[in-house]
Amino acid sequence: MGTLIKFEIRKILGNRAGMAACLAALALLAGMAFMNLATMSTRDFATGEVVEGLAAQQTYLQKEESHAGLLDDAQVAEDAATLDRANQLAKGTPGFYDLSSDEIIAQYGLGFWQQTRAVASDDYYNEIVGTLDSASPRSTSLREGSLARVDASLSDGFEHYFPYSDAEVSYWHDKFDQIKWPVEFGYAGAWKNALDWASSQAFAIVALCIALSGVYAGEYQNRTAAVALPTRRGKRALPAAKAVAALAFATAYWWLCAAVVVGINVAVCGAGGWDLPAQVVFGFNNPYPLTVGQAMLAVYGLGYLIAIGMAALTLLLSSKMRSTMPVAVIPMAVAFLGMFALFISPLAKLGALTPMAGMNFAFSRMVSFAAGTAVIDLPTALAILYAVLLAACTPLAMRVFARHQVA
Amino acid sequence: MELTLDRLTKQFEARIAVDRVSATLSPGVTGLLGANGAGKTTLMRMVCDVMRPTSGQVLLDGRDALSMGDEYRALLGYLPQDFGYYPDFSALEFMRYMATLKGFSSRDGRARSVQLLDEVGLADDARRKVKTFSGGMKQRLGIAQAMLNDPAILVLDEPTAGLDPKERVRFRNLIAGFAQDKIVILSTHIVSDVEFIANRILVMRDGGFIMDGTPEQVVAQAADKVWECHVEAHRAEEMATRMQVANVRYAPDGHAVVRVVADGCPMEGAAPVEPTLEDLYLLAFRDAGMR
Repeated sequence: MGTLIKFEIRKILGNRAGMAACLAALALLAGMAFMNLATMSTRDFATGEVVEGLAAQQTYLQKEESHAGLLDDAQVAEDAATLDRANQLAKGTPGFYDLSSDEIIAQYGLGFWQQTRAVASDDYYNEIVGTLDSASPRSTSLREGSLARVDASLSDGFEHYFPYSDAEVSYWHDKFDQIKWPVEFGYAGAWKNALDWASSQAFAIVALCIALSGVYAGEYQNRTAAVALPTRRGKRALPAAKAVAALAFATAYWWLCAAVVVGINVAVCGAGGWDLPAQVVFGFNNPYPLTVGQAMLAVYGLGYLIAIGMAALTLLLSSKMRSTMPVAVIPMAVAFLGMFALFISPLAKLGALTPMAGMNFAFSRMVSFAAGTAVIDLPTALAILYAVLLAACTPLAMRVFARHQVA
Repeated sequence: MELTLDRLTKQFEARIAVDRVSATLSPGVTGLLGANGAGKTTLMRMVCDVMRPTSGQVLLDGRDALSMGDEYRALLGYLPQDFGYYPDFSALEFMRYMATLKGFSSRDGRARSVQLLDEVGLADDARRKVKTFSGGMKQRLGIAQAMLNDPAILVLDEPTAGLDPKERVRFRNLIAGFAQDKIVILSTHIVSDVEFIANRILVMRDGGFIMDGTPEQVVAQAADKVWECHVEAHRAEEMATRMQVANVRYAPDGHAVVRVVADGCPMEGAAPVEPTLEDLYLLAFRDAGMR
C-alpha cells in the first residue's frame, strides 16, 4: 500500500496546473502576510516620529506592551480618564482636529501630542473606552461594557445579517459567562495577524482542490483507468491509495501554508501573547472564552478540517466527472462565492458555512444555528459539515472509481 | 482452465453492442476478428471487468468472474485498444506502478519490469518519459504491462495498432510463446495478426459471433467462394467497383490477375482458388462498409 500511495502522490505532484496553483497560492499567502507587516506605519510614542515597515512592529509592540496587565475596574477607569483628558485637551485647542501629528508636535510640543493625538489614535484606548461606552451610562466594568456590546449585536442581529432566536441569545450569554474576568491585556501581534488573515487560507484550499482535481478524473481523461482497474489491486487498494495520497497531500499543503503565514508573523512580531484572552485579538464584543493560543489552534484546526472536507468533495467530483476542469471549478466557486451570500440576508448563514466566509467568521463573530432550543455555533456547524463531507465523500469517491465503466 | 462467456449482452440505450454472446475459451490463442463497431472492444471490456454486462456473465472454471473480484483480476492481463499512460512517468516507472497494482513487491516488480521491457525491446528507453515514445513504442509498453503478472488470461485489444511489420512479427512470436498454457484473446481487424498464431477464430459481427472454429474450419467456410480472374489491366479497376476484390496483381504479359470473393463464379474463365483467412474476412464483412 505504501508504494502505491507514493506513486499516487507522485502523480498529484506531476499535475502541472495543480502545482502551479499551489505555488501561486503559497506565494500569495506569503506575500500578503509579509506585505501586511512591511507596509505598516505608526508613530513612536517617545519621539513622535513615524516608523514604517518591519521596524514599525517593534514600535507597535512597545506601545501594546505599555498597556499590558490586568484590565480590572481601576485600570479601565484610568484608561477612560486618560482618553477623556485627551479629548478634552483636543476640544480646548482651536483647530486641533485639522492638524496633523507633525503640526501638533511643531506647534504644541511632543508632550502635548503624547497626551492628545497619541492617546486618541491608540487602538487600545478606543477599544477599552468604546466598550465601556457601550453601556449607558458608561460602565465602570469592562465585563459590563463587553456584555452590552454582545447584547447590542444580538439585538440588531449583527446588523441584520444574522437574526437571533431567544435560544441563541441565551446560548451566547452562556458562552460569555464562561469568560474569566478581569481579563489581561498584552501584545499578541503575530497571532492577531495570523487570525485576521486566516480566511485568506481559502486560497490554499482552492489550490489544493485544483491539485486534486485529477486524482480520479485524470485516470479517465488519460484513459489509464482501463489498465489500472482490471488489476489485482485496481478496485480496492488503488481507490483507497488515491484517497490517502490526496488527503496526505492536502494535509501537508494546508499546514505548509499555515506554517508560512504564521511563521512570517512570528518571525517579525515574536510569539508573545499566546496565553492572553482571545478578546485581545477579536475585540471585547467577542463572547468566546478562549485564550489566543486556543483560538489559533481552533481556527487553523477548523481550517484544516474544512480543507480536507473540501478535498474529499473534490475527490467525489473527480470520481464522477471525466474532465478535470469542472472538478477544479466547482470547489473554487464554493470556496469564494459564499462570501457573496453573506450580503443576502436570507442566505447569510448558508454563506457562512462556505470555506472563506466560515474561516472569517468562526470565533470572530456570533454566528449560530438553532433548531428549537438546540443551538450550535458556526465553528461547531463547520466542524460537523466538513467532517460529514470527509466521511461521506471519501468512501463514495473510492466506490465510484472502483465501479467506473470504461467507455 | 476454461473461460466461459454465457449469453453476454451489453446494451447502450437503443443500441445493442454485444448480443447474447456465448463461447467457452480454453488455453491457446483465440483470435477475435471483426470490423470496427462489431462489438469486440465492448466484449473485451466485459471480460476484463471494466464494463458491466447488461445481462449474462463471465465464468472462470464455472465461477462468476465478477464475484471472484480481486482473485479474477489477479489472473488478468489487459491491453486496451486506447492504451492510456501517465505522460510524466518513465517506461520503467510506469511498469513498476503497474507491477505494484498487480501485487508485486517493490523489488520483484522492478526486476520483472526490467525483464519485460527488455523482451519488448524497450530496455534502452526504460528511463525515457512515455510521452516521448512513438506510437509503436507505447504499444510495446502496453503489451509489456499486460504480461507483467504472467496472466492466465491475456486480453489484447488491437495490440498491433501502430507496430511496424518487424514489430508485428516480434509481437506474434512473443504471444505464441506466451500462450502455451494460457487463454489469450486477441482482438483485431488485421487478419495476419491471428492467421499464424490463433488456435481458434471467432468472427464477430453486429454484436454476435457469426463464425467459430479453428483457422482451417473457419477458412473452409470460404471454400468455392474465392476466384482468380485473368483480365485486361484496364478492367481490374472496374471489377473492384462491382465485386469484392481481395487482391490485384499485374502479370508480365500486361494482364491483371484479380482475386475475387464471391458466392458464385464472378465471370467466365474465373478459376476457384484456395481461400485464406483474409478472403474469409472479406466474405464475412463484404457489406460492412456499405451500411
